[in-house]
Amino acid sequence: MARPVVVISGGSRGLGAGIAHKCLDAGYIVATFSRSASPFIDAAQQRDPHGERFHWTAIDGREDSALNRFVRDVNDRYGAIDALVNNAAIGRFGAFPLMRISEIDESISVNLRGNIVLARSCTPAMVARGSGSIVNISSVNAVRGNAGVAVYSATKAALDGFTRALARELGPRKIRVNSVAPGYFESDMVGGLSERQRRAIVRNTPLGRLGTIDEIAEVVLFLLSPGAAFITGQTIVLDGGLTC
Amino acid sequence: MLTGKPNGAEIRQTIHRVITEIVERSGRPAPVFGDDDLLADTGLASLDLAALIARLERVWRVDPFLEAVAITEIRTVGDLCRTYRDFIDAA
Repeated sequence: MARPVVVISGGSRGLGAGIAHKCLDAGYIVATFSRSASPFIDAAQQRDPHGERFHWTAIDGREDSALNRFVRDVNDRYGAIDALVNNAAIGRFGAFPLMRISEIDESISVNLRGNIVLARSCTPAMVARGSGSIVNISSVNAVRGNAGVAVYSATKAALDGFTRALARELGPRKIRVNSVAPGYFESDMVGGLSERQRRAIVRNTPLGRLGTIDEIAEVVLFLLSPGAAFITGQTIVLDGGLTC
Repeated sequence: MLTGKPNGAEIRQTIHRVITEIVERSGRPAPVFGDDDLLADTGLASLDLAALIARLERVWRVDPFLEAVAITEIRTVGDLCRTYRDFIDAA
């Protein structure tokens, strides 16, 4: 049986790299892109110089034509795209009334528009084959309000709406669409928090700690797997109970 | 850039064949249709149309509906054939 092929946007660092790593371990062929390489990408390419199971391209997710070329290239190279993980995102945090318009545009473009365009490129072939799984990486900020993340929250909440509508539309063709909403986990994105902020988050989290990339990636892998064959249109919150 | 571009008759023949295959694969009887028939009357549902576009992209490596053309402008089989012919000619 052929190995399943998963496309992961923004798979060079942080959670994206964690998901890519987890998918490789689980036997997937991983095709990913990001604006620049990283130690994870370099190592994966060294292990697989002919791209038999790992393919990476430098792409800015805001360039529609580059995204479409990437999807076509992956289809040509591996024969199919079985799954898509829309992970690419940037965090532009700060007081909303002081935010530059260009930062608002950049957040919407990368976190929302780029992922929707990527799904638009991947789904026709999934519909033609009558199978597929899409996981959108949302955020706990999509389900709870927090200061300083208004635009980020808006893009992630929009992604959840996209998830539910697409699940309805594509379900009859056996394509599942879900989203994962991580809370605070050890990553570059929480690197900007002060020690006091981190302690406050941990104090308010019933499980008493931040999450890990591995824990989030494990749930993404589950949602992609046949074990989640009856799950679609859902947002799974992974936050140690922060929002319960 | 396409090399060895198909002519209008080849494009039409391929589109007719793929429509027939998709409708038959969904368990419905093979449709009988011509260029003047509405796409909806061939038995294609809206998501079948997405499957058709994906199949044709694998053949000609183009998807006119990504940016250039709105699918809502396409009503008949002939409209679809003309759209692909024009798009491929211009590529």
